[in-house]
Amino acid sequence: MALLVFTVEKTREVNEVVARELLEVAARERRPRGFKVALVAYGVTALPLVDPTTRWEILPVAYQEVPVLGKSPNIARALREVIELVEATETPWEPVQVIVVWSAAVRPGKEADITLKCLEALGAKVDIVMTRPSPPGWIKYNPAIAERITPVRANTNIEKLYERLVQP
Amino acid sequence: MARDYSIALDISLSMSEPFSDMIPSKLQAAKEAVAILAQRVTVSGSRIAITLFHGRPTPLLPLTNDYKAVVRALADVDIVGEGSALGDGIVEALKMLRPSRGRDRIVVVLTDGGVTEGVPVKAAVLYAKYSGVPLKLMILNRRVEDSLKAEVESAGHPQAEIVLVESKQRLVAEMLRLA
Repeated sequence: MALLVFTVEKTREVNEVVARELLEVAARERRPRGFKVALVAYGVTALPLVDPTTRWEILPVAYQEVPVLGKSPNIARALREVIELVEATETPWEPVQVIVVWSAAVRPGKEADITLKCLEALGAKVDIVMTRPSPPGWIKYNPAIAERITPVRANTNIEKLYERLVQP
Repeated sequence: MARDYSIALDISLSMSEPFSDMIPSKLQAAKEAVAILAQRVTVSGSRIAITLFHGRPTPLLPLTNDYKAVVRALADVDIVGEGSALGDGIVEALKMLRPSRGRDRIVVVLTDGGVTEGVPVKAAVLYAKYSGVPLKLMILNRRVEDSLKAEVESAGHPQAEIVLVESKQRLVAEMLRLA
């Protein structure tokens, strides 16, 4: 069974409009076809909010309802939560796609790169939607994260961005 | 009907205190109540999982219908330290139910109700709501903090319930009601 995991930041730093719009597009399009979908919310801490389901429509509602999870996003912790979710079933998910929404408000440690590579070693494809127009200067210290970033600019069409992210 | 119970047990410092007829401690009374529930339900194929929490959660026992395993696991449970991350305890207890999708499931939390850190309780209750898992918070105390009540209610989970438990007798009765 195929799985798409949205890993979405909920802090005062993230552009919530972008996060919500992305989830609304996903709920509307229900693509890629045949995938189950899950949602992990994160900030200082992280938690699964929606375990794998075919109920795409609850994604934006669940994100809207979850309270702000602190100020600084801990992307490593969020990715650890995704690993736990992906490994929780006896039958492996195949394929696994992870879309991370991240404000890049604080520099993550090396742990974030390591956790990302660990997730990819499990067969996951990871894309990071950064809710700012250009990467911060310190991103060069996190090469694994830097390579997977798609920045969101004022003129970015979220629908088209989503289409690009989920195309086979 | 066989059911999967995931128990989240508060092992923060305040649980070491006696309360009402819960002597020598609230924790001891909670452990005995879990053992009584296990004895009652495991014979019919129901399973029990146990998570401990204080400042952070620790999975103790995965889902089992082995009553002796539950008793053995509980025997070593003791107070660990200060801090009470109730939200994390609920989340971990829900994760323990991941292998049991498709079965009748419930999370039962035994705590004296203090929340000092970790995942917001509202977020944890939302996870229970979106997982379709009923949640029963048994508060071993004289009153429920207004802030806790507000957080649970604001999640809008129709199957989330707070039960104030002021005696050991009531605690055992509430646990047996779940059986």
